[in-house]
Amino acid sequence: MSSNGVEILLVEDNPNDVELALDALREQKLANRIQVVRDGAEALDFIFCSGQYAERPNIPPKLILLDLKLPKVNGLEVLQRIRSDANMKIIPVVMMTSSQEESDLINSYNLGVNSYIVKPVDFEQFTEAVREIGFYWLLLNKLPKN
Amino acid sequence: MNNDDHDSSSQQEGRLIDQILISSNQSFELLESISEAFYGLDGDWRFIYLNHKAEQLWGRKREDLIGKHIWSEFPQGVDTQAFKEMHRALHEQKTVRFESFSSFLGAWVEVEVYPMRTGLSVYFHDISQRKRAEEALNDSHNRLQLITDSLPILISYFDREMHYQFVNKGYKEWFGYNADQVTGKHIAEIIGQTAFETAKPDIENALNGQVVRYEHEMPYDKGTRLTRTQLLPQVLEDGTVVGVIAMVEDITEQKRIDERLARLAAIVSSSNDAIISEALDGTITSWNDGAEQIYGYSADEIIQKPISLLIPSDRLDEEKRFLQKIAANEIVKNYDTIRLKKDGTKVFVSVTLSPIKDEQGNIVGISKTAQDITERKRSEGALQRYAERLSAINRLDRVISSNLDLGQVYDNFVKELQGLIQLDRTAIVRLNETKDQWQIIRQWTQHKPAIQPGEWRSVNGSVIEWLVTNRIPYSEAEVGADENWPETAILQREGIRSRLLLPLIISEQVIGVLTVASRLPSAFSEDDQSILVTIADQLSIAIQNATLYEKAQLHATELEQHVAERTAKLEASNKELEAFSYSVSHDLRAPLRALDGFSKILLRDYAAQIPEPAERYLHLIRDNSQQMGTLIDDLLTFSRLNRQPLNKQTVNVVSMVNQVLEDLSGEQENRKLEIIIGDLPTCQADAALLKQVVTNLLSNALKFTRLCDMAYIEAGYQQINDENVYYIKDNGAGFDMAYADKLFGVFQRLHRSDEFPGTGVGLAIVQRIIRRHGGRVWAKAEVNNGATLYFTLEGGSADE
Repeated sequence: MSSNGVEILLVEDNPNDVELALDALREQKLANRIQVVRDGAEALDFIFCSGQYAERPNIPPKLILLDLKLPKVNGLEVLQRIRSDANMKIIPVVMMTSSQEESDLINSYNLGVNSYIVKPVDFEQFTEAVREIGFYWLLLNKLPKN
Repeated sequence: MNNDDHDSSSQQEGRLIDQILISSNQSFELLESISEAFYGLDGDWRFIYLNHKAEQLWGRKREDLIGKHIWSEFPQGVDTQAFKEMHRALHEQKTVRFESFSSFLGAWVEVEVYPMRTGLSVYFHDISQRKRAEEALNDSHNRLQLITDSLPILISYFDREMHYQFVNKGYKEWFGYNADQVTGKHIAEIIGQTAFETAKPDIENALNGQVVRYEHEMPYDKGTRLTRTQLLPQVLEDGTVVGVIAMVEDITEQKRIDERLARLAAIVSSSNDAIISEALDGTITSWNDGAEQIYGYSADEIIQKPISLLIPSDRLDEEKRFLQKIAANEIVKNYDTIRLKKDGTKVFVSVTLSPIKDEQGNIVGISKTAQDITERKRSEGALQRYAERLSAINRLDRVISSNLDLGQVYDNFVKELQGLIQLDRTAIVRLNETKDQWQIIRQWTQHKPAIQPGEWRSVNGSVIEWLVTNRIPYSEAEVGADENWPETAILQREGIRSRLLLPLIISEQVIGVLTVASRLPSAFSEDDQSILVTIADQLSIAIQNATLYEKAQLHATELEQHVAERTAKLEASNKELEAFSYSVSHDLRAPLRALDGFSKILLRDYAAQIPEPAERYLHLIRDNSQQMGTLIDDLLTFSRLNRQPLNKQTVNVVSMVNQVLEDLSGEQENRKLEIIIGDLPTCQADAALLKQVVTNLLSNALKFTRLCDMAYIEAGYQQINDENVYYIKDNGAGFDMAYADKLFGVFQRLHRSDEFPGTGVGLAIVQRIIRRHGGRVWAKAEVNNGATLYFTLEGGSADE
């Protein structure tokens, strides 16, 4: 982990999806500063520097790619925690899900998600979606300092 | 009085003796001794002789006059009546007697002149006294005539021989004769034989000295008259009757009036109506038997008393109004009001008032008739009560039958019953199932009730038991008089004198009792009882209905609970289904993504090491993964349709078709296409869902025309039986109508996927959406000759 901290936090329990996502991010030259966590609880520990990540330098990630359906604490809860924290609420969160449920989309936006993408079965479409997200949120989007 | 040719034979003889004496020139002694004046004249009107009496009357000496010419000595006598009469006597040789006024003597004289061959002998005497008496008599006669003539009756005087001696003018009017034609005639000649025969006995009685009065019909020249006759005999001191004064009065008219009056009086007197007259100040002036019967006062008691005695104090104004009307010459007719009888009770009367006028037309009083209409009012009242009862029964009927809430039935019932029958207490009693206890479930009372509602009491020995056994109404006209029930003492303490109890019967079982009670004895008539029996029947039915309704309500509540439970279960299973499809959408796609993703990575990163057949397999893996992804997506879309709420709005179908065609532009590239969009009307639909329909149908049309050289697609519209029918028509592959029923089934495909790929869910989705809108969808097609898919958005049964 570099001292510059993590650029992308990928919250995904499915190892296949993790690998595919990392492949796609790697293709876009974004893979070197990715932290993968496998469930919602771990995600929260990482974000709020608690539990196993208590020693982690308190630098928030620049982008969180969050799966909706997660063990222990689901994606919506994680999103809610992020948005209700004064320091973390500005972090762009992109909800990535295989769900096409309308209710999930509405709930995510209600909780202040920045983007919402349905993970397509077609890997090329998936790669393209990841590329666009990374490009936009990491390269174009300017966050306020502190 | 002129008595020409008067010659009674005896007088004639007397005068002849005188003549003889004179002619024989015998002594005149005799002539001197007579009381009359006498003189004799020769043929040349010279005095031959005159007696002493003549000397006295004339104041002339006999010696001076004898031999002298009479008309020379008494020239004033020339041409007088005497002059003429004496000449007549001489010339005609006739005895002449006359009366004349002698201006020389200044007196009336009666003169008798006897002719002689040689002259005249003349007797005369002063009759002034007699003449005066005669005149006086004449005057009095005339006055009598005048007076009697002015009387409207017949007055006559007849003598013993029944000859009229005097009649008044009336006889002229009645019989047409003048008085002098009647005088001296016999009665029968004047009044006719018939009338005379009738009157004769009475006349004879009068002639015998009796005063006679009689009435009879007297014929006269123009018919008959009813007459009243009085005969007054003129009786001398010695008792002889010299004549009779008859007075005959025509009472025809009076009789008629009398009879009419008598009839009227009889009518008034016999009338049952009160006929009263009163003065303008309200003083009663006449009072008939009818009035006595109606008001109770006798005529003696009330006449001269004020009419206000009869008028209730609150109606005194009424009499004032009547007086005003009468004063305005109006009649008050058949005015129904109330009057007071002598005993102070009231009586309903219908009064008619009319003014009484004098001959000048001035109103001097009021005639008032009053008819006793108490009976009429009573029957009117009875009729009204009957009508009221009828409507109350109707109301009760409605109250009872329109309400299934037993509590309200009771309340309304008790309220209406009070208006229907005068009572002090009414109660509805209920029996328990075993019919050994009863309780009051509703009660209305004017006083403190002895038995409280709700309190269960034993049926044993009570009147309730009697009703349960006998199932007929029980009436007590005087509580405790005949029977002593356990409750009798309680009722008596409460002041109840009479009561009526009616069993409430359902299916021949007494389920309760309706009671009415009064503090008056015998308060409930048979009429009341029959009404109450009817009501009790209604009430029984209502109780039964309400009981059934309560049971039905209970069932309904249970049913509702069941439904709620089922619904909850259904909702739970729906939730499970949702969770399932959520999992499907999320979890089934992940492995597909892995299959596709890693195949792609293999092909990308290890292309050099992969032999050509392996590369094809990897491509097949990818195709199938993607195919399955599409299937899952379609299936989820389809299942979501059931849960998604329908949000209907006005949709512009033309622009929707255009937009869908634009979305599907990729499928139109490099193709020869003719797309026609008709004049599609707007519709009411869920825009997102309708777009799905249009998309699926148009994408099908594009798909199945792919092999056509020239594709033809039409989005059209037609009206069939007032229904807007939209259709999408193409000239593509079409299908065999034999399989038309499979067209809309899920995963049903009529073409091989290597010809036309697809999941077989598209038309199932279309049908699902159209049905949710309440519309229908159907197809017409022919193999290789295109297909037309029709749909409506309403008119079918909504399949929510």
